[in-house]
Order: sequence, then C-alpha cells, then structure tokens
Amino acid sequence: MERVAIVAWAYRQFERTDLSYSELVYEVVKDLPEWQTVVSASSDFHDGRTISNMAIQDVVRAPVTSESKVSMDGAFAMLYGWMRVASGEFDTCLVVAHSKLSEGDPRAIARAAWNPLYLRPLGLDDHTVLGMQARACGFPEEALAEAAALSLGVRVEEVLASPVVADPLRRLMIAPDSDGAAAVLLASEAVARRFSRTPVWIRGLGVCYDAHSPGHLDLRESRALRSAARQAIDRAGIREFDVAEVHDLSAAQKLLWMRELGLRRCNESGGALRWQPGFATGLIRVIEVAQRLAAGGGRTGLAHGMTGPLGQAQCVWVLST
Amino acid sequence: MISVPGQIRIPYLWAAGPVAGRFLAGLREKELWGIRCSNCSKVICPPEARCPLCDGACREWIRVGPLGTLVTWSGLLGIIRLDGADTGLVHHVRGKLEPGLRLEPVFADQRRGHIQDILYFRPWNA
Repeated sequence: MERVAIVAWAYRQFERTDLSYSELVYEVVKDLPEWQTVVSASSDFHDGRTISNMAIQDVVRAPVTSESKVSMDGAFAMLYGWMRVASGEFDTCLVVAHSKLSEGDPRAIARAAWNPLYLRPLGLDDHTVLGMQARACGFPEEALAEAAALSLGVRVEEVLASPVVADPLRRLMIAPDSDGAAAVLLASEAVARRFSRTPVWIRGLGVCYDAHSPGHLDLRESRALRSAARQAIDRAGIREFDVAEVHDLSAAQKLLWMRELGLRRCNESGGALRWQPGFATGLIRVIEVAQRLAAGGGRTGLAHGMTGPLGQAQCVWVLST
Repeated sequence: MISVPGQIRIPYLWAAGPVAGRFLAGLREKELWGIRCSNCSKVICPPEARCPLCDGACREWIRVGPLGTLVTWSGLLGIIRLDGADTGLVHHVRGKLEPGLRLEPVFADQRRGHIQDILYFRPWNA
C-alpha cells in the first residue's frame, strides 16, 4: 500500500457569498497544481438539484479525468480519495467539498433528512436534536458557555446572553449556517515532494457509523467515534497530538467529542462553532490540522469529521509531518 | 447581484414494509409494538428489521408501553423509552418536563397507520 500525503489545500468560508456554488468550488481548486482523479462531497438537498456534482464537474476538470461524489462530509470523501492513491492506481487525487447553507432552508432540509416513516412527519430539525443531545449529556450551562466562548473568542457572558434556540442550547452554542468550500490535494510518496517541501502524511484513519434514529442512539456518548478513533490511532501508532480539530455542531458536541477522543484542547481555528459550511466542515478540520503541521506548529495531529447532526457517521484522521 | 428563486415540491408514497408497517398498523389499533433482537435480546422500538444496537436480526414482536419514560427533550419534541423497550421513540411531548418523567400517549380519534396516530405524550398521573 502506498503512503499518502496531503500536499496542497485551500478553503473559503463565508456567512453568505454571492458566488454560485461552482464558482465557489473554482475558488478553492484554481491554485492547486494538478490531479489525476477527483472525489467530491456535496448534498443534493443543499444544492437544490439532483446529482449535485454535475454542476462542479467542469471546474474540477472532471471531463478529462474522473470524478465520483460522496453525499457526506468531505472528510469521508477523503477516505475514498486516499484509497485511490493508497492503492497505487493514481499518484494524485483532488478531494473537494462544498455547501451553501444560505441558498436553501437548512432547518427544512434537516427535517426532511430523517426516516420518512417514523421521524420526518414530526418536524424534527437539526437544532432540536442538538438540544436533545446536550440535555442528555448533562453538561452544566457554564461549561457549554465556556466551550463556545473559547471557540468564538468572545466572553462567556456574551454566550450566556444569546437567546435560547434549542433548549438548553443558546444561539452562540450552536454552529452557524455558513457557505464554503474546501479542497485537498493527495499525493503518493513517489510524487509528494514535487508539490510540497512539507508534505503532511496520512498516518491513520478510521470510520464508523452508529444508528440513524436519535431514539436508537445513546446520546450521552459516541461508540462510533470511539471506534473510528481507535482504528485511526492504532494504525498510526500515534497517541499524542500537538494539534486537534473536532467537527462540533454544538458546544455540547465539542465537549463530548473531546471526551471520547481524550483531547484536552482542540479547535484553535474556532471549529464548526465559528463556521459551519455543511459538507465542507469536516474537510476544513483536516486542512486546519494539516496547515498548522506544515507551518511547524506541531508534529502530530488529529482531525475529526462527521455526517448527521448527532454524528451518526464518524471519521478520524491521524496526520504527521 | 441576481439570485433566482425556486422551489421543489414532489409528492411521494413510501411503502412502510413489513416491520415499520406492522408498527404503524398497531398504532391504528392503539397498540404499541417493539421487536426483539435475536442476538442481543434488546427490544427495539420503534422496530427495525436489523438491530440498531448490534446489527442482529429482529424477529420476535413484543407488546410495549403504553406508558414510557422521558429520556431527553428539546422544545416540544422528546425521546420516550416505552415500558418494555430498550430504545427510544421520538415524539411530541407536552406538559412540565423533567428527566425520568412518566408519560402516556394521547391517540388521535381518527387513525390511519401513521406515526401521528399518536398526537403527543403527556405526563401520566397514577
């Protein structure tokens, strides 16, 4: 199996952008050098058209290479991109993800994403299940406010003064709806140094899913995240991380994911609590870790991505210089 | 800048299948059913063909409820573990809520084999 490195990347995040989503994707791929194949991540629901990757195939040069879409967070698209390079079939692979939550109705889309027999008719949106999870975890309000304040760079009082959106969560304890795109160039060991003097190596990865329905999950924990982390950490043989980023849709998730991963600190970037551009969010966690490592900000890193408002699908990457 | 408005509205008719279909048909009769996993023996409600806890095959139907215990909630939606079940049902909840509260379902007068044949759960007073 080939060793695989992250050799280039770009991302853009906005509260809202007037760029169309193919132009937004172009913004993050235009300065990357070259690639032989593409794995993309996007959501038909968020893009408002079926086979949402059709709209970006020209800007990722798919007509002259090959492209496949993952309808999950970009951190999972990277799994398939990694396979393409690790297998020896390709030397380079572009992994790209985009979402513009400003264009549709994120709450309505979340309500429509559930099982239509048991859940969809109830009007259960993503913020409501985040509130259910936060209440089940039982974190004190002060701890939630501190976790959010640290990510947002604001005072705890400001978090506590924001209105309750999904009890017990306040507005600043919930990841905001954002627009954004992210791209990562993966390369085999044979060519990695052609693109970067400081390649960041993929040392371990793990993926695990849990049940779909909130009622079938134990919201006080995430056995899927623990399993994904164990797979990634055991493959890498790395247990201490200089840099870590978790995909946190709420302040309670930040605390829960940190506990399940055994992290004492994470998300210097602000994490998803700062920007949450849908399916680009997890891939941006990978990039935040990679760019800090490449800049000499540490030797080892852990990046976490997930899909589903409760983290029903979990993905962990262990990286090192 | 120009933005083009649009809306997608497509009707569907989803087959419930034998497992969810039996649960929903039970609601029409004001009956609540779970299904036991042949591997881990947990009773799954709402029922699934494969166990969401261990992926075992679920076959044995078990009558559950009608009373249940509130696990968690936000706003007017909660997770209720029905008596005899090991997993939770998401549904509307009303009243003064607290963890562990005992709840009873309120059924609609006209029922059609639908999750909303239960209108909501409310606190149960012995």
